[in-house]
Amino acid sequence: MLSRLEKKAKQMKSKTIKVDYMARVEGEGALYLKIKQGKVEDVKLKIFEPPRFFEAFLRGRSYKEAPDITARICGICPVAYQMSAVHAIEYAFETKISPEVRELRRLLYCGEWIESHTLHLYMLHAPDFLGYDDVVQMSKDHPEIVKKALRLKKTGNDIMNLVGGREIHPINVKVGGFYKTPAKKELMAMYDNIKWARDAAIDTVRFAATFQFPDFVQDYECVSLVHPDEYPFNEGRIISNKGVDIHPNQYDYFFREEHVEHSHALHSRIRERDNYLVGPIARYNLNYDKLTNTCKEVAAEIGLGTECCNPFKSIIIRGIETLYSCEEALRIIENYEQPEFPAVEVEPKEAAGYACTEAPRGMIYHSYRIGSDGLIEDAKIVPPTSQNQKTIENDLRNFVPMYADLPDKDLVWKCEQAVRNYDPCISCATHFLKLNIVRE
Amino acid sequence: MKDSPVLIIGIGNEYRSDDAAGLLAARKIRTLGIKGLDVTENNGDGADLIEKWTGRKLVILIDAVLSGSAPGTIHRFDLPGPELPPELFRFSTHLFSVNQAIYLSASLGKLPGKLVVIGIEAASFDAGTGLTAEVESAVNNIEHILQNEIIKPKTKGVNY
Repeated sequence: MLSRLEKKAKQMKSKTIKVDYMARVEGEGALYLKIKQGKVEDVKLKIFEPPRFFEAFLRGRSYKEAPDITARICGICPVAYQMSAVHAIEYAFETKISPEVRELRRLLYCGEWIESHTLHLYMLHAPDFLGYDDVVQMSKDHPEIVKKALRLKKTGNDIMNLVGGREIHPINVKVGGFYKTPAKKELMAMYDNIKWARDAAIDTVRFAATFQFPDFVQDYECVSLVHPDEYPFNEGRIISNKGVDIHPNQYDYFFREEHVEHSHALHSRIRERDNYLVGPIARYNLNYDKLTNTCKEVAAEIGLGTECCNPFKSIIIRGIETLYSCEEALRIIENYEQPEFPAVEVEPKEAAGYACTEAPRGMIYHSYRIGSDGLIEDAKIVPPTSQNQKTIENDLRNFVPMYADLPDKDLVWKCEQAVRNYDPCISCATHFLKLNIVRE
Repeated sequence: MKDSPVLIIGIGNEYRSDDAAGLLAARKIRTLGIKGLDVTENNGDGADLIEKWTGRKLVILIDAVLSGSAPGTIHRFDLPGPELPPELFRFSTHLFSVNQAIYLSASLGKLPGKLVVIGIEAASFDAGTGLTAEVESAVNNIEHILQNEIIKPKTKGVNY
């Protein structure tokens, strides 16, 4: 493989390409690639925004404000931020939530996964595989597929709206539970539509499996939450396929963030080794046995196997996880009993708290130090995109030589597609993404 | 509850300075309590916009824009009509953008009867809360825009 790539690389001519805005990646940032004789000499995913604004903004605020403030970090994954915040603070205060509230939080996460995965899969990533500039072009040839995608996404929004209080920046989540819990009949009103969504998700997996995927298998250190009984949303130990097995309160001992000159966002790495992968592929590889039978059957039908190390196939796994979320939502609604109290009493104390949950894009870490007055003294938030940043760069370093002889426009497209494998929410870590390729 | 025929959508991020202009304008309109008018907020997610405006007779969308004009300048675009300048809305948080939402809606036959896009020229999209003075003044003037878009046309017999 390498010798073939090296051979191809030697045949390359030298030139310079400059491309500006990278489409269909949420937020803003920039990607710089330097290619010499077909080899990637340098790759930098640049992130501009002051990344710690929200951490600074939280200092001096009441712990009660953390779920609502952190929900504003990203409009696509507000639940992930809220959930990590409430779990970390509940850990600090030793607050025990009720089983019913725990189930409702999983249901809220189902809504976010359905909404976020569907948006990325159909609106942002599928056009790459089908050869369209964007979903607007794609909709001209495939209007029914796009309409179905919009309805599937809306199903996720509806769940977030009912449980979270509002689909973008949910306002119903609080430390200790919820401000208000839905009645069983309110959840049952969504039941048939979620059943439709489950079938649509099966079609989605089959649809994604028809795409052509580059032969690009990588040796990742996959990192994900792992729970003994369930596919992970809110809870679990941090596990990797190369030996990490820790409680989230040990995160800072095993993982570190380092400043790199080209980016304002910090690069994450495992202290003893190097970069790692979070997100759908990591979750799937470490939690395949926790998927529902339907998910396993559909995965087997399309020949996905129990492990996947091709980042381009993340689009299929997003489909599988959408299916899982629909089935999990149905299970939760079937068994739901409205709790007597929407939240338990919370007693603030001087303490530190830590939590990880699984955002659609991957594991997210929050830690807080809180004073005896209930005010936040310090906060740390590590979003999934900054954890994947170095792995995205490594992918490009290995991927670009396979296509370095493509015309500039096509190479840019391939690079964008490779970045989009990660569904990067640069807005969690930053704003715009530009793409610059320099060939020498 | 049945949707009103007229919908105001404020778009933005309240932690990105003037990017909050659309949101704050929408909140101001909500306090006016105008009958037959729904008001909602959006963070720039185009798919959500399509869902919200499908089937409405009139939608007024308010967003912060950057064109090089003086901060606080009000831009107006009517759809159906000439294409929107795509660079205006580049500061949407998410790049499945307002423009794409409009064109995808058109492609799927899901545009509202009339769509008026009000762009408020921004001065700063830096991280932080609070508007710059010129933009705040424009937001405070939002009632006049409503006067022109909804109240006056009604008195002229336009039926929304």
